[in-house]
Order: sequence, then structure tokens, then C-alpha cells
Amino acid sequence: MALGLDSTVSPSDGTVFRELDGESVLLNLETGMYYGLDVVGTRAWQLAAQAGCLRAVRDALADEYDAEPAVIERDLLALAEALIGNGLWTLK
Amino acid sequence: MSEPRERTVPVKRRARRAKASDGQRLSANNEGWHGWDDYAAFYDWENAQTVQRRDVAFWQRLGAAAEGRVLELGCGTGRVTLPVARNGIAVTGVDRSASMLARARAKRERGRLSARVDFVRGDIRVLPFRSAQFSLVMAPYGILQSLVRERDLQATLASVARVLAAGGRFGIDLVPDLPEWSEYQSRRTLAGTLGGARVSLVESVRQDRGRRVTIFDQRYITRRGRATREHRFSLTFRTLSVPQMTRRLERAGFRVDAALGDYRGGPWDRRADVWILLASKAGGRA
Repeated sequence: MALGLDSTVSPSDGTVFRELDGESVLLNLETGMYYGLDVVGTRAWQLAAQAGCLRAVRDALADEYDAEPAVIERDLLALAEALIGNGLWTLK
Repeated sequence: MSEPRERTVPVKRRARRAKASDGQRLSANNEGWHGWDDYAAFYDWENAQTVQRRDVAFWQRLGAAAEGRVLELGCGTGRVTLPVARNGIAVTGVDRSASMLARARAKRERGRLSARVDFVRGDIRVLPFRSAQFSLVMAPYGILQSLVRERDLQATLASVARVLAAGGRFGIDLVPDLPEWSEYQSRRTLAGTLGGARVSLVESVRQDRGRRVTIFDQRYITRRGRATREHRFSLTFRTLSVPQMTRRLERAGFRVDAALGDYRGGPWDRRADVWILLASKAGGRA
């Protein structure tokens, strides 16, 4: 399934998310690998956990951050690709 | 640029491993971190014959000047991490390879350095640490050259900029001459003993000079009694020049304070044996 704004994602089973002062650390329990998210990435994670649909995540980020929607969309899709590739998000 | 040359002993091997079947060509899927787990058993043995400890005192001096916790990217078995910590410095080492880290942790226990050293399994492109947590980030031994794709290098520089405190320092050691190596096939370059076994390294070198990518296809052959085992890896490096790396650092928010040509602090020039960049996070003190 191609990844796009209409994709729906959710945190994978076995992923531990811990927020630290607006940033976050993720642990993939299966691999034992740790990853870090900055403030915007952390917010994207939280929004995706609530909404699931990446289009809704993009719209919410566009409301909250002063950046071009196209830039937000590009960065969000890149983040989603990385999180899915590392087993931290599951594409539904 | 000088003529391509060969070295019988690869004194500049910078170990970032990408597992590949024999003859595999570099593809978009090659990443420098593949194969580290398989390589871990040979890492210290190889380094003892190549780089040895010639860069360690440099990193110890840099660590001693840091006013806070130090981070080492791609710490492997702790070759640099642990000597820096022995000087009383608190150090975190991050690496993707569980096998490398297991060896590093065992050495940390033997050295009774657990109070000062953390080892974390993580991805240097998305460092799993809070912002502004470190006063020095060390990138020894060509670790950044394992980032074969431009986007991976950019992500790593951005990640380092995030975890480095204002005024913090970023030290980068690059291996300059890899693009100049001649290509060859199945040459025995190292031999010796390891844990009672005879070990030899047979390697091939391939170049993609257009992309400044060098690939070492390696076979470690171990013989213990009549039993022979073979371990295959490929090492993939992307070598940028000092000006190219400087531009990328500046775009990521760093100021390049110095370029060094040796581990004693001598000035850099294009013929230097070692390329070291010392950068600081823009907005901080010099």
C-alpha cells in the first residue's frame, strides 16, 4: 500500500513512547532500538495516535505551526516513512 | 588529485559495515549500518592492526575540555568511549549494533566505568536524547562516511545540532583518501590470530568515483584446527571533501572553527593524512 495523506497509521505493538519536555524517545521492544523525535515529530506522533489519518495530522500541524502546508506534508510523509520502516508505526 | 594508489595494509580502514552477498553492487538499499552485528567479533582485532590508538589521545583532550556530558556517534566496542571516560568524563556512546554494544558493555564492566559510561542502541539520524544535552559530540574514525545517502547525512547533522548544547563542540574525523584507492579483488590484507584461531582478511575494493563511494568487500576466514569459517561483509563509505562537509555543517547551523590535518592539532591541507573538523553550534560561545 502506497503511503500518502489518505493513509492511516497507528503506533505498532511493542513500541514504547515516552515524552520528555515536549520531545520524545521511542523504543522498539522487538529490536531494542531507541529513536528520538523533536518537538514537531512528537506532536505528529501524538496527533497520529489520536486521528490516525495523515491528512488530519497534516491539517492539525498546519494550524499549529507557521510553515507552508506543502513543507509540512513533505516532512510528515518522510517521518511516517521512517517510523513505518523502523517498525514504530503500522500502516493500516 | 594524486594518482590512485594501493596500500598493502589498510591503515585507514574505517569500519562501517554493510552486509552484502559476494559481488553485490551498491544500491539504494545499502546502508552503512548493515552487518555490524556480524562484524563485531573482528572489530577490535582489525583496529589493533590498523588505526591502533593513534586518535585516542586527541579525543581524550577534546573530552577533557568539554564542560558537560560527551556523546560519541557510532561508538562500536568503545574503542574511544572508554579511554575518554577513564579521564573522568561522563560519556554516552550510541551505536546500532547490539553485538558491538555487548562488547562495549563487557569492557565497561571490566574497566569499572559503569558510573560514567552509558551505551545506547540507537540511530544517529534520530538521536534518542533530549535537546541541548551534550557539550561535545564526537564523530571519530569516519563514522559520518558511513552515511551513504545525502539525506542520511543531513538528518544526522540536524540531529547532532539538536542534542548539542549552545556553544557545544562537534568533532568530526574524516578519512580522506578512500576515493583514491585502486580497485582490486580478493587480496589478503591482514592475517594473525584471534582467540586461538588463525584469522585472515581477504578483501576487494570497488570505487564509484562519480558518487565518491568506496566499497570494501571483505571475507574474514577463521581456522581453528581443521574447522574453517568464513564471514562476509561489505563496507561502504561516501567521502566528502573538507569544503563540502564544511558547507553541510554550516547549513545545519554549525560554525566550523578549525580544520586539522593530524591528531596533534596541525593545520589541514588537501594532502593531509587526517581530516578533522571542529565545529560549534552557532549561537553559542566560541
